[in-house]
Amino acid sequence: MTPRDPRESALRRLVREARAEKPPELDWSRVEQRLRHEAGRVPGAEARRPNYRLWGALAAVAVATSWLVATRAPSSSPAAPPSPVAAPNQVRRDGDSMAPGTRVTSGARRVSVAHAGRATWTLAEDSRALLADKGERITVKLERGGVLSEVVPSPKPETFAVEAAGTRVAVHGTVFRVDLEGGRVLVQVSEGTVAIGPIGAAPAFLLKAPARGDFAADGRSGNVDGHPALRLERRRAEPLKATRGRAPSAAPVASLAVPATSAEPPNEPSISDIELGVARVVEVTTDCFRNHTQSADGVQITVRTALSLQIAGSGAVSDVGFRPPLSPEAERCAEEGSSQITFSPSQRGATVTRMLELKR
Amino acid sequence: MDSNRLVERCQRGDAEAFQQLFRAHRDDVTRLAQRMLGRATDLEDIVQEVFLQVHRSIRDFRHGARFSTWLYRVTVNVVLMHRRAAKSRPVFGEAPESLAAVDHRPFADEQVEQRRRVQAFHRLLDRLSEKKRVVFVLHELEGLAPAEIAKIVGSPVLTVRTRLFYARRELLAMLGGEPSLASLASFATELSDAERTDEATAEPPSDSAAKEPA
Repeated sequence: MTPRDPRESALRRLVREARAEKPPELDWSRVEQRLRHEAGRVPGAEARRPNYRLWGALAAVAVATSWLVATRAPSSSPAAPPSPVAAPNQVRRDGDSMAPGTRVTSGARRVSVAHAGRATWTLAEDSRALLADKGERITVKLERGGVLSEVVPSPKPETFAVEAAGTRVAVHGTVFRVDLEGGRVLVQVSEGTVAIGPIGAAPAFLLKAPARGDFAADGRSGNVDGHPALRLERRRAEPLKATRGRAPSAAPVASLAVPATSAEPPNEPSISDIELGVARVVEVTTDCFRNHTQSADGVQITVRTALSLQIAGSGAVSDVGFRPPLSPEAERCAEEGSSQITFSPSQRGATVTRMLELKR
Repeated sequence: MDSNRLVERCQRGDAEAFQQLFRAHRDDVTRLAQRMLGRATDLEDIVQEVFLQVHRSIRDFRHGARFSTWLYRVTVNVVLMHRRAAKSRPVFGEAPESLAAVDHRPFADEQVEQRRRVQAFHRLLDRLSEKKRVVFVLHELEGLAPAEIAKIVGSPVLTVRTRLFYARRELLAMLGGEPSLASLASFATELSDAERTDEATAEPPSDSAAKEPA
C-alpha cells in the first residue's frame, strides 16, 4: 500500500467528496415543536439534581444499556455488539454488596447490577429477578421481563447463569439477553456462546453469536433463528490432552458430558470440549501476554482483543488469531501454547471467537 | 453566547437557553448523524432524540469537559441505537434514479456521478464494523483528532488509531469490489497523478498504529 496506490487516491477522493456533501435542511420548526412537546413529558434539567457519581456509573454500564435499548425493537436478527454509550435512564446497584436471595425489581428505569470484574446484568424496564447465587458462579433467576448480561471472559469454564422459568442459560464470557415472554424464554446472543437447557440437566442447545432463539419454558425444545433448534450431540466428552496450562479450577464442565450413543464423531466438538479447551487457550494467552509485555512499575497495561480459534476435525488447533493483534512475541507464544492443546475429534471442527481482556 | 454559558443556564432550567443551544448545534448533530447513517432518512427523529437526551442529562454534564465532545458522544450513541433497531426493520433505500431526474444544472452529470460515488462510499462504510465506522467517520469526515474520538467512544487513543488503520485498510480492499465504484478504478489512476499536486486536505493519520501491539 504505497502512497501511489491508486486506491489510496480514490479513497481520499471519496472522503473529500463525502465531506463536501451538505446535510439536508430539516424542517426545524417542526423539530423544535416536537422537541418542546417531548421535553415537556420527560423530567428535564430543572427536575433533577446534579449527580456526577451517577454519570460515572452510567458510563460504566453503558455497554449493556446501549444493547438493551437497541434490542427493544422487534428484531429478527441479533443485536450488534455493544459499544460505549452513556445511559441516563438507569439505576446502578452494587452486586458485590447484595446478599444472595435479594430480589431486584425495575420500574420505569432499568436497573443494572454490577459484580466487579465478573459480570453486569441489567434488568429491562418492568422486570424482576432474584440474585440466587454469587459465589463461584453468579446465578440470576429471571422472574419477569428481560435481563441483559455482560460476562467478563474468564478461564473458569462457567461463571454466570440466568435461569428463566425451567430453562437455564449458562455462559462463559459473552453478551446475551434473556426475556420471558408469553411463557417462552427468548435468548439473544451478541458475543460468545451460551448453552441452554433444562434447569438441573445437561445443556440441550448451543447458541453461538450472533444468534437468537426462543425456547419452551422447560428448556427442552426451541427455535434458533426461526428454525427448530438442533439438540447438542450426545456423547461422552473425551479428556483433553493439554500439555500446557493448568486445568480450570472450577469443575462444572463435567456435568455437561452425556453418555455416548454412537461411535461416530459428532459434527462439532461438544460444549464441554470447547469450553475446557478455550479456557486453556485463554490461560496460555494470558501467560504469554504477561510474559511478553513490558510495563513500567505501577503502570498497568490492559488490552482487549478478539481471540479467534479454529479447531480442525482432528481436534487440533489449526489457527489462532487475535484482532487487533498482540505483540509478535506474545502471539507467537500463544500460538505455540495453543497448538499443544487438543480437542476431541469431530466431523466439521469448529470456530470459536472470544473477547479477551489481558492485563499486565 | 458561548456554549458553556448556555449549558449553565440550561442546567438551571432555562428553556430559552436550551432552544439557543439547540439552534447553535443542530447543524453539527444533523451532519454527523447523516454521515454516520449514510442517508438522510430518519434524521429528524435522530436529531430530536439527541436533543431530548441532552435535555434529560444536561445536569450531569461536567464543566471542564467540552460540550461539543459530549454532544458528539450523545449523537454517536443515538445513531448507533437507531441503526441497531433499524436492522430488524425493512429498509427502504432511496431510489437511485431520482438523482438523475432532478438535477439539470450545468455539469449535472458530474454532480450526479459524485453523489452516486458518495452513496457507494457510504455503502462501503456500512460494511465496516460499527466501531471502525464510527472512528473513521469522526476522524476522516468530521476531522476530529484521535484523542477527542477516544473521549467520545470511551476507548484508548491507541485503540482508536488501530481501528482507523484497519478501517482504512478494509475500505481500500473493498473499493475494487463495489460495482458502483468501478469507474473509480479508472479515474483513480488518473487521480494518482493529480493527487501529487493536490495535498490540500488533511493527511490521514499515521498507519504506525498497525505496528504497535493492540
